[in-house]
Amino acid sequence: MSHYLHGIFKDPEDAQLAQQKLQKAGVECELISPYPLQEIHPDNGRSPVRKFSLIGGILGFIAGIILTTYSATSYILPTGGRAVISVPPFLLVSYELTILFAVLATLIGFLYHSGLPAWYERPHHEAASVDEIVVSAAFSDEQEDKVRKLLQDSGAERIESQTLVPIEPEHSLPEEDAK
Amino acid sequence: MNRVGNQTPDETPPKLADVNRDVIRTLTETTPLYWWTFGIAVMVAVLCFTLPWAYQLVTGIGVAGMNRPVIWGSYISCFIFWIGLSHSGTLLSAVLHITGSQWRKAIYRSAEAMTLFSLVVAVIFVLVHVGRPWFVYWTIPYPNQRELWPNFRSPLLFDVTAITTYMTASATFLFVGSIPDFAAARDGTIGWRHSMYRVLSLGWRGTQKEWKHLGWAYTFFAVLVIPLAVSVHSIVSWDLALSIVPGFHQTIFAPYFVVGAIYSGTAGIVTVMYFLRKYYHLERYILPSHFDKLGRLLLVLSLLWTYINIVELTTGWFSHHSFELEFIDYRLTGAWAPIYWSMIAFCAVLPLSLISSRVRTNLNVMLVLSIFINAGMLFERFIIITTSLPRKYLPNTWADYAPTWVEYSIMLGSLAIFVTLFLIFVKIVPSMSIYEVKEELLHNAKHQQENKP
Amino acid sequence: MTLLQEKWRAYRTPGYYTKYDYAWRLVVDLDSCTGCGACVVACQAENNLPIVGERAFQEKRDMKWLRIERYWEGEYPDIKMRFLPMMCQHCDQAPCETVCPVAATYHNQDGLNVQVYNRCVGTRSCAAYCPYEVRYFNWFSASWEAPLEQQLNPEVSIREKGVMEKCTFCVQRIRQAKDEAKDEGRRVQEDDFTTACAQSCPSKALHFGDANDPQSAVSQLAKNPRAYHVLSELNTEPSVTYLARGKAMESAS
Repeated sequence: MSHYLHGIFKDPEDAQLAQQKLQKAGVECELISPYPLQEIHPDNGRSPVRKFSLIGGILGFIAGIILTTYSATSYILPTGGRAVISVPPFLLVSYELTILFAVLATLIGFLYHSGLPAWYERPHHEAASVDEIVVSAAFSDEQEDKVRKLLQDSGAERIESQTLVPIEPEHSLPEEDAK
Repeated sequence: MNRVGNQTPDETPPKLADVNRDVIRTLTETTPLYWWTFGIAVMVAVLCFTLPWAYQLVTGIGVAGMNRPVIWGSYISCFIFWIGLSHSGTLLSAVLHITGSQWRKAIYRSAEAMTLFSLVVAVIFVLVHVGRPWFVYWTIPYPNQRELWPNFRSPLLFDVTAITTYMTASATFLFVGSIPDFAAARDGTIGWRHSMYRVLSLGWRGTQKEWKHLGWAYTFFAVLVIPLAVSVHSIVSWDLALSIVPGFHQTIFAPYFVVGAIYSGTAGIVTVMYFLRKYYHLERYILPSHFDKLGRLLLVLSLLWTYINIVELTTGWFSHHSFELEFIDYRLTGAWAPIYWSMIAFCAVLPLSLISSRVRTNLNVMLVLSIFINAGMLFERFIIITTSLPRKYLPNTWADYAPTWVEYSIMLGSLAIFVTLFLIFVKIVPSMSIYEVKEELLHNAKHQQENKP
Repeated sequence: MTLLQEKWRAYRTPGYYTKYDYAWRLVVDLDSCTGCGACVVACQAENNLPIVGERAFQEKRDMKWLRIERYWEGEYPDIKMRFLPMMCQHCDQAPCETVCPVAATYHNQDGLNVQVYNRCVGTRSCAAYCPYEVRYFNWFSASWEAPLEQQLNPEVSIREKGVMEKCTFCVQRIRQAKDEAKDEGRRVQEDDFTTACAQSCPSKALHFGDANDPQSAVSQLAKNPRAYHVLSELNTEPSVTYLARGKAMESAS
């Protein structure tokens, strides 16, 4: 069982401050918002998703070249007096595959880095999908009062708690079978 | 707040919570009008599309009106039309996203859905067109024991790769952009809808990490989609332009098709926006200023389109090549001349009225204009096919072409399929981007505060 | 490395696969052609072409792998008629071959433009691309009434609806001649066989043969100064050569 306290803020900047304070105090917390808070996060950093796009694109181009030349040479069906490896059409097909692979790789990169899909229950408050900013803090039992006070002092509208039952680990084999 | 009824332009901008409520309302509240439209669309799709197609499959393509010189007909025309219609959605959305334009935010979701469903209908037309649709999978490069691969030198196979990529990319673009809104819908609904959005939102919470990666991924999708969309319609034009048929074999075809595609797609967006605004009561989000901006875009595109049409005819005429002259004569005065001249009227003359801002902000006029433009663009696709093929090289084979009832019926049915898919879409996917509209509202509010003192 | 280079050069040379065993050519002597239509009928019988009927004919859906195009010159009564037998030109640079997405039509080792009925999905793009209009589409499945199915040629398959078909230069006869020649360990000779149309031509206007054999009739006739290709400006390099009507014949007719 893990406990979370959600401090619900009206003002994004207050929420941001509260998050910083909590992090300073050594409490793990996340900022959950209904829209990206880029304006108060000027140095949001570059996302590693970029690399996925690049690598996907390069792989797609190579895949296109290999697919077209291999399929043209493995069973030669001459058409229209053209060379067996006709460069312009094959580049066109590779161009399309470049984009296809880049798109799929970007999708995979996005899902991988943002930890999606996650269809189990995670700390979340419904207010964060309407108009309020939620600072969601995970705490151990002795920290509760401290966290609660910190959130209140930072200007939280209200504080709500959430308790999550951790997902049961996969049933391990009974010991006899393991032997 | 009950805002059923006429638009009220001087209304205060909505609050953030209103956005959630208004959008989720479009998902949960269903009027009898919706059910009537949906029922009629499904019925028309079944009666006018499925049954004639089944008849054609059993009897043979001969039930359509095509003949030997005009071996392609309405099905290919409609294929090009629907591919063209698909062009503005994702392309416009991506361009406007990259240029950071604010007014895109209320409209892009439905525009992207339009892209996806037009593509679906276009692919359906490929199946309707080919003689043996049950073997169409042979165009997919799958390994088989005889090593019979598709012919990658064929412009039709460029099409297969381009359209597959385009469908995948548009669907991904649409889906990834909707994940936060699925999450908002998940938190705002109960029952089976809650379970559905729980799955669709992939467990999105809205942490800053998620937002950061979403922003980057989304921008990358936009960057990738723009060259893709341009290439898709260029490739569709090369299906025709790589032949040596007078009227098809034109170097200007790629830009011509891309401009035409964006033109008809933008007009399509105007049509869809009008109905969303009117029947979903999104008057506070889809403003006359959006129509005004789309109207300007349409005006520019219509001028471009007219220019390219003049170039196409002039270069043919200037070549003084007897086959080209014969084809131009047939296009301007032959059996399809009334269609040609109405195309000119709908796509080149009528849109000139968009120069007046009164026209651009009058939504009813915009609706009529957008429908006329798309009718004209459908005519254009017919003209390209049906005035080039009947006048090929050997005069002995010259013949005219007229569609049969099967073709007209399938055309109508395909429109019903599009409407059906779109109606299903607006009940499942938030038809307006919740989080981006919120961003826009905050942005506007900030601006107002800065301007006040 | 050299093998790879060699292969690359081979694959990049457009002409590399044109070094065929045979190069089948047809020569049409328009001086001799009387427009009688015997070749059309012979082709119909040889290749199991369906009889489409009057209505389909008027809809321009006739099936004639070989047709005789008629062109008139001048006004009545001072009128001249010219014949142009038109069949698949088996172009060396065929526009129809590049466009087929499934490679149902390609150039085989004999230099023929072949159509694989089983592979065809019916996009009809080959017919749209063909400048000679010699590709015929099966709009419906053909059927033959009771006694007529007895006269179908067992060597030629019946095409189903939705596939494209065209003149094959009687590929079944070519195959048979090649098999027989192979059994006897020799090349196919000039008088081993000919196509159905050339065989039936009463005025010997059609000549069929192997252009790789310099002594064959087609090789000799191709050097004739009257020789020309239809629509040669399109650079399709057809295998069918026409011999224009001579000036003497012009004045006599």
